[in-house]
Amino acid sequence: MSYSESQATEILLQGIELVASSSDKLDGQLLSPDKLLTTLENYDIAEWVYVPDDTLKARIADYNLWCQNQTGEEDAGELMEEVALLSFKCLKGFESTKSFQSYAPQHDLVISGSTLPWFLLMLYLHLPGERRTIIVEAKNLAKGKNSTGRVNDQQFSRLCSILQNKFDKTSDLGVFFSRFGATGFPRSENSKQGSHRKRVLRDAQATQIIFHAKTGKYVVVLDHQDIQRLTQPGALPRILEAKIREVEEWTGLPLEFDEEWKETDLPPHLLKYVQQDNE
Amino acid sequence: MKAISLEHFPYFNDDRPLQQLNRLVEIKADLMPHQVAVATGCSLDEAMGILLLLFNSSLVEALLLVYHNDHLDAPPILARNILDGPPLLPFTCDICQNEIKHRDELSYDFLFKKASNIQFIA
Repeated sequence: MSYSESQATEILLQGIELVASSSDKLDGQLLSPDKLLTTLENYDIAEWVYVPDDTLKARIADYNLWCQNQTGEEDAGELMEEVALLSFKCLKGFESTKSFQSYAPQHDLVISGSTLPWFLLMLYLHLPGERRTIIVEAKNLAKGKNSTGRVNDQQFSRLCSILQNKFDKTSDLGVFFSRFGATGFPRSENSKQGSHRKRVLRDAQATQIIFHAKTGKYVVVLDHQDIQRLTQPGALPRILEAKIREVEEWTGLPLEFDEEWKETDLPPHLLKYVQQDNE
Repeated sequence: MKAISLEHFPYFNDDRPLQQLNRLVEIKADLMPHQVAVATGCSLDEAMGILLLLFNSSLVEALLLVYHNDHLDAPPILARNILDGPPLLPFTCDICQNEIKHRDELSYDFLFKKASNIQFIA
């Protein structure tokens, strides 16, 4: 009897799941340091953890149609939210709708899990099991005269703030779904053109790296190219893991921050106070 | 003799499969998931679960057997600690001396070597 790598991994994982379900140790805690979970660090569990279903594939097809035509009855923002939710629903361990909630108008999805597959996902993403909530924000911004359609630094910083202030002890990962990505980030299709050697940080990407350096938390961005890949088994955890690793790789590199800081005169509405003090 | 409870494996609440399992474990020094499944009639998942239970309790050594698809009838080309997972590529097959570059050139199975005498109880 012999199995392909993915079959062998699945047999192993299903066996582990059975053992875990027969153990009373899974009490909201990772089974580590038990041997079984350390085993999984050397196996690619992505295709077991993420299996895209027909509903997701259909909505991604609808999203692509909307991108082509940009007309129709679909609300662009809601469509992107659906794609975001449906993709996370395809993760094993995503529990019922009780698992997420619309916490506030500022963010869309608060996703968590407490079963073994969810813990394994956290292990795969190199995230601690005790902070296993993921905050997801979906944006389908239009390109226009004054907009690139990309998540800007202000919007990016808001999710960082939510992660740090509202979910400090329960979440280490925020995820944007944004058709055109975020400002300062290279586009996915250009990512092979040396962005890993890029040394200049600006806009939202600068915020991403600084935020991670200060807090150890990650906020990553899935753009149009990433969304296309979500129809493949294993795609979502692999994309997230790769983007987390990209953030890590920036650490230790000599960096320039391209903020174009230049000294200017105080504007009149502030200058008056300085002049007042000087009188 | 180490007693292992299978109370969380409902299939083995029945005497017959439990006896079949104990008979298999008594006579075999090495156990493989499909052997357990065939001998007792349980599912492959349950068989693997039982063997992993033994591994997690340090009663067996667990190996990942690696086969080269060019000659599946030959013995495994590698026997790795299950904790180490699949081998890194590329590497050279010791049997045919060909370089293995892609994951789909390999197949796998699991082997659990008994380290103690074991008896399963319901």
